[in-house]
Amino acid sequence: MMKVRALCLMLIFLILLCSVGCSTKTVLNPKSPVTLTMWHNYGGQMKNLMDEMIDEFNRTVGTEKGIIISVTSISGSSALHDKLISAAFGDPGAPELPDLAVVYPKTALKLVEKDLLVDLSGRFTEEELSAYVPRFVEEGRLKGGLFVFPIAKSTEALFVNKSIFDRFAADTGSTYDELSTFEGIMRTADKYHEWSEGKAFYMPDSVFNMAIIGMNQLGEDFVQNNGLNTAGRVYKKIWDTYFLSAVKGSTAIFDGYSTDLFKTGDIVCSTGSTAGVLFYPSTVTYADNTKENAEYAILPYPVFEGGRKVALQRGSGMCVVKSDEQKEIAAAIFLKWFTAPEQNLHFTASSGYLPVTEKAFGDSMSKQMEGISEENIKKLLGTIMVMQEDYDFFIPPLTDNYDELQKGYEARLKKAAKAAKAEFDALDEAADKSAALETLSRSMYEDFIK
Amino acid sequence: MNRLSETTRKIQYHVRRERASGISMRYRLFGFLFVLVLTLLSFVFIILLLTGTFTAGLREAEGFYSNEFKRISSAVEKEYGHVSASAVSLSSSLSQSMERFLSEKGLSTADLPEAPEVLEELLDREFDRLLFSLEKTGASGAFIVLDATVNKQAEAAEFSRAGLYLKNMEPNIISSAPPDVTILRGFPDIARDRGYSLHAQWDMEFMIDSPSHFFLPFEKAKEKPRPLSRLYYWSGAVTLPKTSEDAMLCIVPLIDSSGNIFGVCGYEVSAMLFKLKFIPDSSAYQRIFCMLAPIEDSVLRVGSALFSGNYDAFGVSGDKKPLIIKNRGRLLYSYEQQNGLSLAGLHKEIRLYPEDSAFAEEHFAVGILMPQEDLGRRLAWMNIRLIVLCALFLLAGTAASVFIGNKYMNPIMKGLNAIGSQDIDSIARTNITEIDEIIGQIKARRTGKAPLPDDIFTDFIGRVKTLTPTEKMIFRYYLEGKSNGEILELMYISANTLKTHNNHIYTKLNVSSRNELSLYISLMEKSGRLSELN
Repeated sequence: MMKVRALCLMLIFLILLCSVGCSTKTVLNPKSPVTLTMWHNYGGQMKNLMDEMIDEFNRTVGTEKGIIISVTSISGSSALHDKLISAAFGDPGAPELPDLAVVYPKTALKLVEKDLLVDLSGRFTEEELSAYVPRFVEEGRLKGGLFVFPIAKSTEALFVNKSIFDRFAADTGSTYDELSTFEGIMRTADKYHEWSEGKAFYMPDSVFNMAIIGMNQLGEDFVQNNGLNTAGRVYKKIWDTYFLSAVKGSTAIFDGYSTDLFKTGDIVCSTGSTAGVLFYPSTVTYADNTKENAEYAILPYPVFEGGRKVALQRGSGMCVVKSDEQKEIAAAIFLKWFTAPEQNLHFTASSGYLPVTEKAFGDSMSKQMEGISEENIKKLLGTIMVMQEDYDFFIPPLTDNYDELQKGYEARLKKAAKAAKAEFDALDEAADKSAALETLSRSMYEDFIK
Repeated sequence: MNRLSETTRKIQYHVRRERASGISMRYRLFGFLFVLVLTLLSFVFIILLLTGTFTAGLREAEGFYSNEFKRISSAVEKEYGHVSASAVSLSSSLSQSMERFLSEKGLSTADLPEAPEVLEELLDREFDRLLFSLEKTGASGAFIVLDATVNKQAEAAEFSRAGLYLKNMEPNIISSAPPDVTILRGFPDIARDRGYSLHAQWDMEFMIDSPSHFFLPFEKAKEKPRPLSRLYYWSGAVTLPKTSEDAMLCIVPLIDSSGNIFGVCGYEVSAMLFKLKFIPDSSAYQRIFCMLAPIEDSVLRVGSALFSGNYDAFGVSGDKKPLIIKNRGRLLYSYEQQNGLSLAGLHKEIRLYPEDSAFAEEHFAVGILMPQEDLGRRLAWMNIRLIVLCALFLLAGTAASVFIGNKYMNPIMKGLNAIGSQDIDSIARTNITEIDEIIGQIKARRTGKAPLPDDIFTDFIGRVKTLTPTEKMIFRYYLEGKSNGEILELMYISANTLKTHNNHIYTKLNVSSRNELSLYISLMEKSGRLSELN
């Protein structure tokens, strides 16, 4: 009797298992692959690299495990941020969120607040995570979970159009050493402005980053109590450095990326993300459509005189949007593959990003450098290795209003600089330009910090 | 082998034993229930066959495929038709506007190659028109290429052409925010004055040396005057020099009122736009994808195709060699690539040009395809699922038959065993009426009470006398305790004849079974009246 009962129970269990097994999706099946959509910001030349790596994954591990990665959007970081936020908030016309997206922590934070992201600490063992550079992993920890997985990190460096600078230096005696401090850059910029008969020399890609790192180099925090610390003597030094040069026209005031101005030879030098190295044009096109090859010098991030050597650590990474168990497992497999030293080094050596595992960052990187054909990336990795030794890396604080603070600061500072420049340019030849400049800067600063 | 023959011998032994001793009620009941299960299963099977469930997968695939194919191919045809018409209209309005501007400057379109100083202003004035038309059309890019360069002395100036190329980086997003437009080609100040960025792969002018798609319609227009609607040209997917994304271009010549051809304009459909706009439903087949490719003599030019869907078959195979169209099966075509890649799907040529177009000889086809193995696998999987379910049903039915048989037979067997035992007085009620009645009668007889009144025996004896001689002979054999088999041998009659006689005997004696008859005989024997039956 007992046997019969056990048999019946077993049969019922089998039938239930069969019917349930047909509907739930927990296990990957190479014969019925799962598709993960991805949004990333690797455009231009980097698109080809990303395409090549995703094809490789789909062809190898993806085919073996049953995972297809499908890129459904390639946008700039800022457009990607806007698109993710509008998708997360269900704006009319917004697309569906992808399964994987390249994000900065500020974007991820908003998605975490809406409970849309997977805590990846559950998908990696402690041992697996210990293979990654700890500060990169830490940057992705938000609200107690690991939501931004490091795939490739970046910092900022100084990019100089060597072809033009060498010509200028030969005439004026300027040196690359002078470009190691912001003050030195501004002095050189003034000389170049005069030498080139009115052209700008320098442009920081982000005036906000210049301020936040500058303050840190000089021993103060720029972001305090969800606001900006602009009232002190230290910030005034940073203001003067940028503002005076911008008003004179030695530093460009421009709303886009500095690479736009490099394309047309309108600037010679910029501070920008190392991740942007491939966006620096190999030729400069002048207004008459003549072209000049552009070689670059890539130098460590400049330091304010008297300050510590500090540079920004920029932290885009990959986040996984909550969906089902099967997709989340597949996403973790992709992330492990993408950040394994072999793939990670290939990606970083072709893009200018920093590798994320200790192994890839160590000896492998110097060996890899020998095989790099792209000259700018080779130079960049050399500079990054120097910075890795000499610099401290600053991770921006993740306040809820960080994005607004950054956008607001940049817009207000550029607006003030443009207005002052217009006023300065309108002065007649006989005016005391130096005194006028001081007055303009002081009054604008007082308005600015109100 | 030995073990097998041992098992067979055991089964044969049990069968022989059952045959010898008759089939027990338990097996009869199980047999009945099992036959019932089989009947039900057969019924379900017949219903499935009649309703075509086993071939439903094939029909479902047929329906899914043809619906999806119709939807996508008509969407592609409509979209490309819309872009073609918009390009013709753009060319017409640009030609008029540019001609007017040049005439204000005392120039004609023919003077453009010699008037580089007006190029920037000319293109600057057309920026808004181009941007508006780009947004309205929903293409991923819009361009103007003029047959002139800003500097004839510059290196490679013979291949360099001034123009303007706007790229919408997010063409498939409907948003309240302004479109994310960058300038791929054009004068930088045109972008900067309006706050637009230069594309990462920006250049000031177009290089038209390779491929010269831009000037194919230009050349055709020079050959013979035709209306613009007969001169637009669709390139296959190309990667423009110094860019990294594939795109199809719809190119229309710019022709002024005197018939002078001075450039081209048109739109771009990028690989990403195509991918996002014509996504096939992948809920049934994960690796389904759509392709728009030039077609020539049963060959699809994969290298010049755009794709949509999540699966990149050619990316995975790493090969973009042409795809050869093989025979059409019952449902789908099969396609093969030289490297062995085998696909299944449907395709059809779509009309991108009017019949009398200068490019009417160029054909494109839309296809919806997937790896061949996926189709067969899904159909097999659907039927395997049905068969497994039937097998599970049979197994569950068998188990239920065993369970119910036991449940039903156990109290009966218990009752019968008790009747056979000596201690009949201690038997509790079985709650089976018939058994309880028999036990009651036996108990009554044991306590000295006549189980039945004498007149019932008398009546029974009287009934025996009504039997025919043959029936009486059979009845006597029963009295002697002979089995049916023995009776058949003794009387040389068939089993059916015996059965008929038995029925008559039971009717005449008013009993319902051999058991009841045996009970009467046994009671009469115990009452000492058995001799009266002879």
